[in-house]
Formats: sequence, structure tokens, C-alpha cells
Amino acid sequence: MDVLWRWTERLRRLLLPNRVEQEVADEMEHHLAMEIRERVAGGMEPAEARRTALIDFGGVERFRAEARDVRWGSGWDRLAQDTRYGLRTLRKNPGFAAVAMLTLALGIGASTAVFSLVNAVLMRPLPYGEPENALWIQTSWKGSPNASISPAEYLDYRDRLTDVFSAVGVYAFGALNLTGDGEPVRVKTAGLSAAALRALGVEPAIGRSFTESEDLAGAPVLLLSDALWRQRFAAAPDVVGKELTVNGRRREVIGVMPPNFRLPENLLTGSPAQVLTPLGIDPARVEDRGSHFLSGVARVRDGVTRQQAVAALEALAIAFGREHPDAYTPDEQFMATAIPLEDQVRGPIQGPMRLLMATVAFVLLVTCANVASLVLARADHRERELALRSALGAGRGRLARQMMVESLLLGLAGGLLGVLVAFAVTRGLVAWMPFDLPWLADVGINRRVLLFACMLSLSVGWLFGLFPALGASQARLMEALKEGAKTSQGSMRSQGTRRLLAVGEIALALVLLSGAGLLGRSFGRLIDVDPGFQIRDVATTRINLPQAGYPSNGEVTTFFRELIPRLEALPGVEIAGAVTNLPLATRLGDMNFVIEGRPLPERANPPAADWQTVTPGYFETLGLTLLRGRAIAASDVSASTGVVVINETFAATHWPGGDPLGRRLRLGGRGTQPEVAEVIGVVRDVRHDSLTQRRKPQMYFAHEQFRFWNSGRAATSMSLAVRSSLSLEELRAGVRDTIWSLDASLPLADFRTMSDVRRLSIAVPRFLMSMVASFAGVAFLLAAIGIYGVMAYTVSKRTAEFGIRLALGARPQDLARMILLQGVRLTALGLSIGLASSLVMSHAISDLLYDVHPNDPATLLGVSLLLAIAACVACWRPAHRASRVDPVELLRTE
Amino acid sequence: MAKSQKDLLQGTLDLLILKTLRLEPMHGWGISKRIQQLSDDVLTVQQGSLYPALYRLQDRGWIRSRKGESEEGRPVKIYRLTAKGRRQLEAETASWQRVSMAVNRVLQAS
Repeated sequence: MDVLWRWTERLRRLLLPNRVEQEVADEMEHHLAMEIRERVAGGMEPAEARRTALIDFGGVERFRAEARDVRWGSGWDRLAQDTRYGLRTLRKNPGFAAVAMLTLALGIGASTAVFSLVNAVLMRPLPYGEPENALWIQTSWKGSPNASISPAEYLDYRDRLTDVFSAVGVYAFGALNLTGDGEPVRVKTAGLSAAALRALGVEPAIGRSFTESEDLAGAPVLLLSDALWRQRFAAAPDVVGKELTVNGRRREVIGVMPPNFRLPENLLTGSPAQVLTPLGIDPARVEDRGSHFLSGVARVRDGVTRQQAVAALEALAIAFGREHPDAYTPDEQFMATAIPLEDQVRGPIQGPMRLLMATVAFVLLVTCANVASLVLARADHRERELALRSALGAGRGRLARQMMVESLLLGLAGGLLGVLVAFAVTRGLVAWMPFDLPWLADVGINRRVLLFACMLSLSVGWLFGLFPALGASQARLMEALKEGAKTSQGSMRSQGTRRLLAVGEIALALVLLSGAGLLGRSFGRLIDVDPGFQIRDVATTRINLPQAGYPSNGEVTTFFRELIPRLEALPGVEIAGAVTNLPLATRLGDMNFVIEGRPLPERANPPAADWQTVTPGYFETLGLTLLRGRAIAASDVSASTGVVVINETFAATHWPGGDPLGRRLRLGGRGTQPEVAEVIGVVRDVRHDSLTQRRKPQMYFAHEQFRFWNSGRAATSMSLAVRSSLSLEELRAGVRDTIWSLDASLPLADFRTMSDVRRLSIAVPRFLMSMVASFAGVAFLLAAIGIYGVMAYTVSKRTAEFGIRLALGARPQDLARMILLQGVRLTALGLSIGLASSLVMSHAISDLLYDVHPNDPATLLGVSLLLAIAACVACWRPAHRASRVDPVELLRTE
Repeated sequence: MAKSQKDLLQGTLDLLILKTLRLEPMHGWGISKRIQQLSDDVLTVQQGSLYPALYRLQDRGWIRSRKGESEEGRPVKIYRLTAKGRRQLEAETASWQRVSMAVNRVLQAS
């Protein structure tokens, strides 16, 4: 309380000097008035009383001035004085000030840039109402830790947990063709159950949400995203009731979502759904417990704790096993739980963000060490100045504070430059960001980031100011003032500190370099991964045939049968094909099957394999090598025998050493599925889900035959692949016009090369690697500068000693070797500390590494060598200078 | 050694102010009167030097002031001792007593 009062009083003196001045005047006047009154009461003449009182007081003006001095001499005045003095000394040493500020600008700039990233991605509130009450329903079973929800499960969650959840909603993503008004476009959509928006705590900005009855019937209504509303309706406020043609069907607009609305999956990455439609679960599927394709969110009811809600959900999931023993066999280990929506959304980005934060913290430490070293060296030079000031009456505390104020000034100046650096870096990041991170668009320098930079600058200034301030408070006056005393105790001590700092810098730089090296090596491995198909010279686009124009399977198969030869007829196109799921751009689902002639043991699960459907030219277009048998051919039509091509892992798993050709698979689980496919060929494995995917059994069905999924419908949404050496631009018009020659309402969606697809699939590791590598580069440079500074300073301090040594017969090269050895010792110490730390710390990034051991000896050895060489180069110049000392010249000047 | 003499005076004045405020909160003139009374007019510092001293003590956190009224109802500043000031007073009193005892012993030695 007293301290608080003292500072408010100081602040008052600073801000209201006139009022405080008046108070003093009043106080003194009161004093005199009292004094005079007393004297008059004692029998004195009033004039005489006044005269003597004034004499005894001793001069009103004089004491008013003295009181003012006392007031100003406190706190602010000293601070202002220190600041002025600090600025002057910094101006007198422009070289030192510039180097220190630039170094700080690097460290603070990098930290601020990363903070602005973290601020935009991790600290931003979710755009949902009371996000703490929103839960994400997470289904898992053996091999699938984070799976979706099946329709029947959703209905159970919705209807049987009403006592703990106020809303349970599900949704599924899709894509629709939007026609009318110029070139048709393909938009991302989401089908939402009526309660989904309520569970998220979001209301449309205009209009209303879906009703339960619209949800059940899958009514022809839709909600627009803010972006699509602006684009298609020029943000007209009376949009409700207007119609849009999606997939050839007219739908009525019932509302517009708020601008920042995105479904949880789209918050961090990917483009948002532009059109929301009622989910409308197919009545045939209400008992479906096998197809998990729905995302589920639930809102905890008021007065119910999250733990209670989760417990109720888990109990229900366990009950599923009892109620439907066929659908949930024990060894499937089915389970459902709920996690905070927050964790679901931010979970995936947390690891990389932590890595970036740790990296930048290391860079900052190296920066601090470097500047501390600089400041210490300068403090040595200033020892006599400090001693002199101390002799003239400056207290030790005052000197220490003086040093601290200078450091803080440096920190603030560096921070100011750092904000500029951060501004440039974040601008670059956003522009260069190779993948779609919507939140990153807002990365920038805002008030919170500025506050962070300011706090950081001050604490950094405080940190590196600590050493010289402590030194100053222990300054040995006599020693420093002694004539000819070149190296005093104080400077020996600070020299030791500086060596320690250099060792620390090398250790920190090595940890960063090995992290960067590991990520780089891992990325190199990633790039070298053979995806199982040929990336080069393949262009791809997505085709989605709407129900309205293609009501039956006949129209769908005819479309592709006609389209593909026309594409192949284009000049420059070798071959074309289509596939339901494009590798490296989608994830495959799996399907159970039973091998004919191999009865399934009681209570065992049928085997499963990832599946997809292809048109005849697909294997050749993607350069998928056929190992045995034949590929899907034009003769594999719906009327002929069902065929399947399997991959080598499938063959090796189920027919190790045997011949799979001619064997037959019954598709589906335990039930009596009539669909049968005969194995006609074996192809190489394809890394489909990602380049790092482990080998899995895969099945390829003929597009024209496969009806098992999607209630007997042939796949209507396919990716076209075109092999051509022409560029994307050269191909575009031809491919588009060919598609339009069959159906002008189809958009040319996601038209890109397979190289683009692959690049996008490894964008995150590439981003992380580049960030960590640039930070490590900065640390590397700073560490080299740090050791150079220490060695150069040592040499300059010991010049006299070297002169004497030379005069006594030492050879110049001996001196050079001595200095070099000293540098090497420091480097070796730093490297061993850094190596030991790397061995431990690199395990923290093992999740981010592909095919590289966290303690990869080649990487660790390589970066150590790199750093050792750099340190030796940095020591060479000082060592050379030591050998060039001229003893005669030196002895003359000493 | 004019400086140290001034320091001594200053230190003594500070001590006396603290001691005076130890008894009760008081305004400036009251402090001045009380010091004169208590020291039987032996220690007569110039009365005006009281005011810079009061600011110095406030800045060190030993005393604090608030707005109040004098006996005649005029607005004046009333000073009082803080906890820190109380500790300072005890420390200074102890050290003063030590010094004065030592000086006494030296002077009394024959």
C-alpha cells in the first residue's frame, strides 16, 4: 500500500507539477501564519513578529527551490538523467550500438513473428458460442483412433443422451456444382443435421437455420456462406427466398452464415463450405452402423458437467456392443468419447507451433548471450569511467541502475527494429505460405503482438543488462584507477563470463542446427519417397455428375466412356483415366471382404482393405506398374463378371508366396453379401493417403461395375487424370472444352498437376523445416560472431603480454596456435554440451521425423562439424592478429 | 568537509521528524514546534529546511501525507509514519545510541 502510494505521489508530481508546487507554497504560508500568530499572542508587534518569523524560517524561496530539487531528484528525474546519459553513451559508440541493436532486432523480430503466428492460430477464440461447452464426438476402433460416426450411432446419441446434451448435431462434407450466372463452379458443401448449428452455438446472420422436418426430408433449402452471398448476390439483404441451382436442382436460400463461420475441420486448414444443406439421412440408412462418415458435435446441457456428459456418452457406446453384437465385435474395440472442440480444432497444429516456439526461444537466448557478451566487453572499457564516477560520489546502486537503463534502452531500440523485422517476416509468411491456412491471413502486428514485443524487449534488456549491472555494483575502485593496470579483477571475471556465454551460444546453436538437420534430412527422405506412381506430366481435375442430369448409372458410365477418348484425342495428350479418390489428395476408406473358400473363424473380424474404383486408362495414366495379370479393361462392364485388381501388399498378406489370380472376394462383412469380385491383376503399392503412409492392402474395382457402395449408384464424383507433357495452361482450354462438349454445366474444378498435389501434401513439413532451418541459420551466424568476438577481445587485451613473449623469443606461430587452441577448447566444450542436449531433446520432434532416427549420427556429426569449422574460421583472424604483434612498436608505446 | 556536516544535520533532522511523527500524525508547523519543544530549543534548525526534508522522507517511503485540516480548519497536509519509516526509526535510534554511547565513553575517559 505504501509503495503504491509512493508511486502515485511520484506520478502526481510528474503530471501535476504546478499543483504540487502550490501545495508546498500553501504549506509554508500556513507555517508562517501559525508562527506569526504565536509570536503575536506572545506579545510581539505584528510587523516584528513577521520579520523574526521569516528570519527563523530561513527564506521561503530558498526552501521552496530546495523542496523542488528533492522532488525532482527522486525517481523520474534520476530516470530521465540516466536515460539522457545512456542515450549519449550509446551515441558515442555507434558501432557497438548498431551491432547490438541489429542482433536484438533479429532475435526479437523472429520471436515476435512467431508470437503473431501463435496469437493468430492458438490464442484466437473459436468462432462458436460458449466454445467451452461444445464437445467433439470421437469414435475409435482398432487401427482408427479418430473415426467418424455412422447414421445409426448419431441417432442414438441424439435421442438417448438428451439429459446431458442440449444438442447433438452431425454433418458431412461434399461438393456441388453451382450453375447459372456464367461459368459453372464447383463449391464445397456440408450437409448439416438440424441441431448441428445449435450444437456449435452459431446462428445465421440473416434468415434462419434448418428445421427438424427439413432435416429429415432433405428439403431443397440452403444456407449461404458470407463469401458466396457477396459473390453471387452482391450482399443483397433480401436474399432469403431467392433460388440457386445446385447439381441441377433448384434450392431456396433460407439464410446467410456470419462472415467468420467455418465448420471445425475448416478452421485451421482448407477452404470453408460455401453452401450448407440439410443432411437428410436416407431412411434406408437409419440402421446403418457400418459406414462412418459423419462428424459429430454436442453441446453440454446447462448444469451438467463435461465429465458427466462424457461419462454418459461412453456408457452408451459400451451399450452398443451389447445391443448390436453383430455390428460391434469385441476385437474391433469400438469406443466413443467426447473431447473439447477446442482440442479437436487446435490439436493438430499444437506440435508444430510448440516446435516453432521452442526454436525461436533458443534463437532469442543466443541473441541475448551475444549482446550480453558485447555489453560486458564494453563494460570492461568503461571500468575507469565507472570508477571515476564512483569516486565522484555515485553510489553502487546508482551505477548499476545506470548500466541497467542503458541495457533497457538498447533492448527497446532493438525491439523497435525487431517489430519492423517481424512485420516483414509475417508479411512474407502470409504471402509465401504454400498451403491454405485461413487463420494465417490475419497474422500480423496487432496490439497484443506489440505488447508482447515491448515486454520481450524490456525483459531481454533486463536479462543481458544483468551481467554488467552486477559487475558495476562490484567495481573495484582502486584497482581500476591504478595507472597501467590493464587487466583488473573485474575484467578477468567478465572475460570468464563471456567465454561461458560463447560456450552456451555454441551449444544452443548446435541444438538448433541438429533439429534443422534432422527435419531437413527427414524432408529429403520424404521427397525421395516413391509414391508408387509417376508424378510428372499428369494433370488432374475433379468431375461431379449431378443426380438431376444423370439419374441412373447408364448416364454416368456413358459420360466417362465418351469423355475419356475425347480427352485422349486432344493434341499432346497421351492417355487419360478417372479414379474416385486421387492419391495424395484424399484418404481412402476401407471395406471388409471374405475370401471365397476361406471360412471365417467364429467371432473373428473379416479382413479389410482400402478400396477405390478406376476407369480402364487410369493405371497407365498414373504409370502404376502392373506386376501380374491384367489391368481393368473396357470389357469390364456392369454385365460381365466383377473384377478387382489388388496391390502387392494385399497379395502378400493373403496369399504369401501363392497366386492370387482367379481367386474370388465376397465384399462386405459377415452378412450374406452377393457382390463378388475376381482377382485379375496385381499392381504396385501406392502411397495414397500420404507419402509417409505405411503399406496397406488396396483394391481397385472397375468404375462401371462397382455398385456396392452408395445404394447401388455408380460413383458420380471422379478425378480425371490426363497424361501430357503440355503445361497446365496449354491444357486448360482443351480439357474444359472437351468436358463442356458433353455437358456445359460442369465446372473445371481443382485443375492442377500431380506435382502440385504432391507439393501440397508435404507443405506442412516443408514449412516447418524451412522455419527451423532459417532460425538455426541465424543462431549459427550469431554463435560464430560470438566466439569471434570473445577471441578477438582476448587478443586485444593480451597484446602487451604477446609483445613480451615475442621479445623473450616466442615464435609468432606459437602465439597463433595458443589462441586457436583456446578457441577450439571453447568450441569443443560448447559442442559437447550441445551434442548431449541434442541427444536428449531431439526425441521431442520424433513425431515430426520420417524415416530418420532422432539421434541420427550422420546428421549430428555433420552439424557438429559445420559448427566446428565455422568456429575455427571465426578464431583464425584473432589468432592471426596475435601472431602479427610487433614487439618493438608495442614496447615503445607502453 | 562541509558536505558531511550537512549530511549529519540532514540525517539528524530526518531522525527527529521520524521520532516526532512516531507519537502522532502532524502537519508541518506542528512538527517544527514539537522538535523545538522536545529539544528544549537546543536544536534549532532553520524551520524552512523542514519542508525539503519532508519530501525526501516521503520519497524514501518512510512517511506519507494526506490532505487534512489544521486546528483552525485550514486545509493542510498531515504527515504520518509508514511501517517502513517505523523500522527505519528503530534502526537509526539504535545506531545513534551506539555512537553517542561510544562518544561519551571516549570523552569521559581521563
